[in-house]
Amino acid sequence: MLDLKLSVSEVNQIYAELNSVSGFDFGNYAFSFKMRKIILLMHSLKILTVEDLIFRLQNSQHIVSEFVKSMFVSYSEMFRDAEIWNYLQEKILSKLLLKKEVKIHIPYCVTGEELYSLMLLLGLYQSTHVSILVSHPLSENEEIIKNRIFTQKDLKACQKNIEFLDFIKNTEDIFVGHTNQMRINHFFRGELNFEHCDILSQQHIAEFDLVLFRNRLIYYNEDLQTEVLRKISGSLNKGGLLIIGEKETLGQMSGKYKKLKSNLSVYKKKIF
Amino acid sequence: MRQKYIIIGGSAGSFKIVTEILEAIPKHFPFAVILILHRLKHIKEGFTDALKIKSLLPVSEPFDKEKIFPGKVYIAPANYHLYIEPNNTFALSAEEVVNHSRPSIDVTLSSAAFSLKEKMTGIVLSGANNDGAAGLRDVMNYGGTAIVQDPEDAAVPTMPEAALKISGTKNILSSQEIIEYIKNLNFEL
Repeated sequence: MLDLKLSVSEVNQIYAELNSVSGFDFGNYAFSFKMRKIILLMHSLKILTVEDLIFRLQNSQHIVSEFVKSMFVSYSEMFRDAEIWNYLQEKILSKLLLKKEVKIHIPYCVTGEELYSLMLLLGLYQSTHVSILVSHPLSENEEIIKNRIFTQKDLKACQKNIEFLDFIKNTEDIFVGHTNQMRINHFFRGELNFEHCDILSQQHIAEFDLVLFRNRLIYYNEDLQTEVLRKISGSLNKGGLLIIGEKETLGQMSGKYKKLKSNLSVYKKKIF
Repeated sequence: MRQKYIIIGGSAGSFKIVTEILEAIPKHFPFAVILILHRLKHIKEGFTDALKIKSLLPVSEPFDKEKIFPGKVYIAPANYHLYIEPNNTFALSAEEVVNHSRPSIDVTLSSAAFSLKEKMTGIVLSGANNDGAAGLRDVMNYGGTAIVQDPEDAAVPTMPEAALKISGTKNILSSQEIIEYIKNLNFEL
């Protein structure tokens, strides 16, 4: 890794430039995360100075695109934190699926691990009255998610998770196809919709029964966390459920929710 | 008081010295102790509890954006990287593994180096890869204190050797000397 020393003002200057050339505002992302992304980019492109990075941002759409992509962290794993998925299966879905129509939202979906995990679980019920809205930050994400190919590395990353699941026991039941060209074998029979947008500009009001938004808040500072959570809260039905990452919190919005299980980040929106 | 944070990175062969450090830290210790230990991502129960037993200070795995307080021991949660923010809070991340590790010692040390500068000591203990080396170099670059466990004293010398080579620190201490150093930080106040 490059031996770089950046200042706060240089980090802010770079993200102001990125905003100017891409339209994406990462100003309210967590500072250390932003700084690491700059250092990784400069390292990969062998850029030694902030001036050079800014020049390259002004003159290369490819570098702008790579920088923006890196801000929407793509790496995840199927069925991360298996206990959440077991809880969904045992305690949540059997009740939720009694409703006439069930609407689920996965905001900021980038490569689809959360979506495919959910479709595998819902596939066990083969319900047709469930719709999932997948919103994604970059236009290219939709094709990436729809045509998602899984590799041995992906399989290895989730193998232990699957061992801890109560409802699926074998990765061979899930991943089909040749090595490094595998797809997910799910039986989800509901509706799947995609929406390319920033969550803060979405206009969904009291619409969703469940929002699955895990390990995204961690990349924001507290101001942006509150803003995003307020938006999500407005999009949930009264009594709707919100699932966040196991080490994330609701901060200023916690008063609006009841935690359903002490060691799991599953929250129910309060009616009043 | 100059030093306010002690950040310790350890991997294979480090658990014993970590428990000895925790046992040696007195109850009223005016520093935050942050442990970045390589651990299995699926084993969430038991690891922190095992360290709690050894410590007179409260031990916990921080939540995202949790404020950092002196007199507490924080352990990086399994399967997350742990950043130290300039506003004295933790920030978590599920980015890709670094040096085959999540949490990665490099990720924490590099962010802490920038955020805490001379207010921190970074310590790299026994381990079997290069994690912590680049982070410790950043600690030195930003004015913090960098310490490496003497490779001859480490159960697995690879990580201390890499840390010495890349950071260039001359602070090479045995496990007992590291414990004494931490205890003396308290006495210097």
